[in-house]
Amino acid sequence: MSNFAFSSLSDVLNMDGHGVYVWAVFSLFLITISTSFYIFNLLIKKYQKRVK
Amino acid sequence: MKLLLPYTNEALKLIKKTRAWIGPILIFILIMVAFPLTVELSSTNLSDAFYPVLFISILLVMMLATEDIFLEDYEDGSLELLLISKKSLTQWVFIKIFIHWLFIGAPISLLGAFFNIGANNDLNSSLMLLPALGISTYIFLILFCFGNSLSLTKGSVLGTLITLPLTLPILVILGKLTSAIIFNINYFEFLILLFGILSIIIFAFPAIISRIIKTHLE
Amino acid sequence: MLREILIIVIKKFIHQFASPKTYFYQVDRLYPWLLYISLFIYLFAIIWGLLFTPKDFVQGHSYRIIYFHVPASFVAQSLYAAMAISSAVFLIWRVKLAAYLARSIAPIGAMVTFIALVSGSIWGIPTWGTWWEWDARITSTLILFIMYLGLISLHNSFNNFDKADKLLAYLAIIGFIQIPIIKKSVDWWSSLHQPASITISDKPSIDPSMLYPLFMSMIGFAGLVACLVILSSKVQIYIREKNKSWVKDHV
Repeated sequence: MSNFAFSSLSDVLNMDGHGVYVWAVFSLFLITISTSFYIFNLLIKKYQKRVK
Repeated sequence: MKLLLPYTNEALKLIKKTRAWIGPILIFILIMVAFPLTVELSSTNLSDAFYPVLFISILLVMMLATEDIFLEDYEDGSLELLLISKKSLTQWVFIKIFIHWLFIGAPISLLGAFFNIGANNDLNSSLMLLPALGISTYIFLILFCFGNSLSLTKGSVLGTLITLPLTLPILVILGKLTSAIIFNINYFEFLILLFGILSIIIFAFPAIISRIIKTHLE
Repeated sequence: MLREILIIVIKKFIHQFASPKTYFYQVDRLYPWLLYISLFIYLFAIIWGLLFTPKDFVQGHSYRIIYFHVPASFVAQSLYAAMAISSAVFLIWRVKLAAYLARSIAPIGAMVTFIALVSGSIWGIPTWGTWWEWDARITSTLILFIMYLGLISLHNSFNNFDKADKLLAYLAIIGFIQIPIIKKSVDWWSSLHQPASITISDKPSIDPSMLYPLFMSMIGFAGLVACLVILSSKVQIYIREKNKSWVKDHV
């Protein structure tokens, strides 16, 4: 494990101007993966009801 | 003579369906004639744009030619008759594709090479283009037949969507072949690559297509 | 004699394990473990990769997108391979469960390929100066995405599940030609895309301090996607086997 790569919190967000891209990809993954989990759980509940 | 009988039968069937084979050829001629009109006449870049337009129009025309290649036989029951009569469905598919190539693919390759003389003023490049066009029309025909056999009763939109990803690698090779023809380097490498692809799928795909058709008939 | 007994045992094992009922109960037991462990690994790897690895000499901080992009594109191709294998199993041995799995992988594969494409585009802006290039790797990943869409729409256009399963299996196996093309495209054509950072045969071309979190993020992401596949296959089983008594008992 290496050391913390940034000196401050604003540095973490900014990342020398590349922060926009990195955090955009981060939020893309967060949103898509969590929504797909949500959708599939919803679908399972829907079909469980249909089986009943 | 007996060996040739299924070929002549299929050919007669196709000739009777005039729309199915003259239509694509006419559309190809239309594109080839109309495309120089849309480019400014004084422009010298006509030859640069010629190859992409040629390949894309071949792709489209092959798509049109195979649109309902199995549909009619499926609807009038001759496919089921074939299955019952224990004749080889694979052979039938192979013959059908070959006849379609003979009546649509081969004339279009000749016409494409002919129009190339008009666009580039160069007989040599036309002679180089001709075998490549012949092989690539056959490959496109087989691939679209595959897509259309999967979506037999569901229309050509689905078939195109299925076939599109399979045809893109061929288009990439054709793009590389264009520069090979223009600069006259590595031409035979790409031609042999195309021929290798054709020699695999020419026998493999009819077998797969016949299995797919059997699945449809079950 | 011995051989026949062995064949019977194997057949019995396949039939027992490949029955949707056994699969369902086993997967139900496995699911929470898999979910929490892979979520933990993934988050750990992401935090390590985003905050604790050193800055790249050439690409600056934007290289940190590697911890999202590489696992996604790796999993996108592996999912297709899994789909083709289960399609082959379905066609050869007529195992129904394999057909359910192939169908349930398709939408998730499309989703993963989509985020791999988008994250690659975003990564391209600071690194190459363009968000899209018609280069071999990118184009063939787009082809993979279209392939997944074609598979889904092919299956959805038939009401007869058995027919749809078979057609999907044929298409999935034929489309498997794409995978080696995607894998090797960077080596075959000179392109903008950098060569693979990790290969089985050679030493990895990136520093170990960046490599370990990358490996962990790949494992974690694969685990999360496996959880999604489990959920999706459960949906398929509910759709196909809604009249079976064990499903009703389970619910």
